[in-house]
Amino acid sequence: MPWFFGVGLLAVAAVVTAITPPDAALRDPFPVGAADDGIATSRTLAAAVVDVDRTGRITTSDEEWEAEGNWLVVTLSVSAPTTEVDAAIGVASLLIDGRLFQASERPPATLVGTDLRVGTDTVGMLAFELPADLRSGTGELRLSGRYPTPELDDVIVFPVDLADVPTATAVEIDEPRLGAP
Amino acid sequence: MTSWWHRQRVALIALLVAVVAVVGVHVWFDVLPASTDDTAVIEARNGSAEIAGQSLALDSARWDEFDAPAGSRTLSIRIESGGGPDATTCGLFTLAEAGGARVWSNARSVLDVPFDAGESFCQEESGPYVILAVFLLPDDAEGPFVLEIPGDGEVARFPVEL
Amino acid sequence: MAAGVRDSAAGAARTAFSRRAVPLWIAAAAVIGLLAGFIGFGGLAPASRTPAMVAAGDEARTSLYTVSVLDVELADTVESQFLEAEPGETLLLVTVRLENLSDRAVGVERSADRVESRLIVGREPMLELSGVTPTGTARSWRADESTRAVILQPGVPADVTIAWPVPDDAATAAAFDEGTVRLDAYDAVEQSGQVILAASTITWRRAELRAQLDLDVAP
Repeated sequence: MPWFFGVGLLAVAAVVTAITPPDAALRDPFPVGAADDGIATSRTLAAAVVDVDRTGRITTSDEEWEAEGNWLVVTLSVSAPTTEVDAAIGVASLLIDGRLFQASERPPATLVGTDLRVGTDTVGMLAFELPADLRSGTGELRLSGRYPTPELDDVIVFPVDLADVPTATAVEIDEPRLGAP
Repeated sequence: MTSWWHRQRVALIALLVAVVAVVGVHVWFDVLPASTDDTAVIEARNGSAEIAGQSLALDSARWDEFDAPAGSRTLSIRIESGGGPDATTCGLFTLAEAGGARVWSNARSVLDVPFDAGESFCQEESGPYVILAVFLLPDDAEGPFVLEIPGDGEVARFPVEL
Repeated sequence: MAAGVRDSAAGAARTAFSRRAVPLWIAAAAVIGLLAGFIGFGGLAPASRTPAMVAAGDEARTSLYTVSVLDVELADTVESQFLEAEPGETLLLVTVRLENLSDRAVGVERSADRVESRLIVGREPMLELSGVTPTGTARSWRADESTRAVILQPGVPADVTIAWPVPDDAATAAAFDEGTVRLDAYDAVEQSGQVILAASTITWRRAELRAQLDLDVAP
């Protein structure tokens, strides 16, 4: 009888150890999702997803550069909610299939690092290069206002489901531009 | 037979004092905010102020001088500087809403502003010259605004009435 | 006498299989299970391995990345990267196919968000030249001429050119002639660090030498 009790205590201890968040979670960022109008507003960024595409080939508008692969291209409309000083997307990452991808540095034009304005949207594109065998699954797109991802600050999170994303033959990556999408 | 509390009163009082001291030290050093930025602020008188070794005067503020996307308009602010031997460079120009919390910065890089329309920053010029700062404001930003120009550890504030 | 032995054997058997002995049996089963698992997962395999010698074009695999040499070249300048060798030096350009096997994107030269790979820079990089000593820090760029610092996405192979400045002298030429110039690929271990400035950073720490890839300059 006593050692059933002991085994029971061991089981409870195992469960408690398993569900306790690690120490580092004390400094995790705070996720911010989109409101009903599709715009997610964090402390330094206000962003909305305009378009998401999957493609096997991305190019620049003048066809000078291209890359083949399993690409996920996201078009976003972003602005700064309160101040333009240091307003930019510092890190754009995609968490899917248990792996964390960063927005690819390969395309000549990217929304990461572009200066953002208060009250006027900037529309730009991000491209994620995924492994050839990653064709389905759900994940999340995370945007943060500073590089590297800050602690104890907001991170904008948009859910992504690869099954819902249309596939295009080729997608042109445009330079970021001012104005409504 | 005295109670346990009575017998241990010295130790208990010492413990209480120690708890208060530890909590107080922790709150003082780790919880209370650090001292805020103490840069000296120079308020402009009659639209002019001395900053970065030169005398800056707010000359004009004009709406819609350049093309802006729908829903926004440009505000061009011209500042005359006397220049002089002590002139140094200054920092980023910012325009803040006088009553609200929004802050804009110089948007010349994203708008089609001709290069010779005016300088973007303070220059180390010996003679007078003109600085042109262009801000991209949404239609719902009406003013009044405050233009802040940092330089040499100080900040000059110019009220902008339209 | 035989009856006495049989009786004591029966008594021992009764003791062994009695209800009081059940916890003992459970403990014994647990220990045997652990041992079986340990042996089954390779716990008895020898601890260190001699590094594999890998020919050009073949893949060397470590726990966090794979590398294979595609091309080796000696040059004095790389105009597209504004890179020029100092006088008395030349540039050893090695084009490799790298695949990131970890589950976070890493940068080849710089960090990528909170992950430091130290693949080619630092005191103990994962990829190091042997047979010839570099005279400066290595530089890297993508074979498709993208200009920004290279980031390796998990599970996506990338063609990267790495440039090491090496002395342009007889010793280097002799090393290439003899075929002793190799790229050492070390195994890497992910270390979650509490660095002073950043609370949670993952750094790749160098472990044992896993493979040596031949570097033969194309004639």
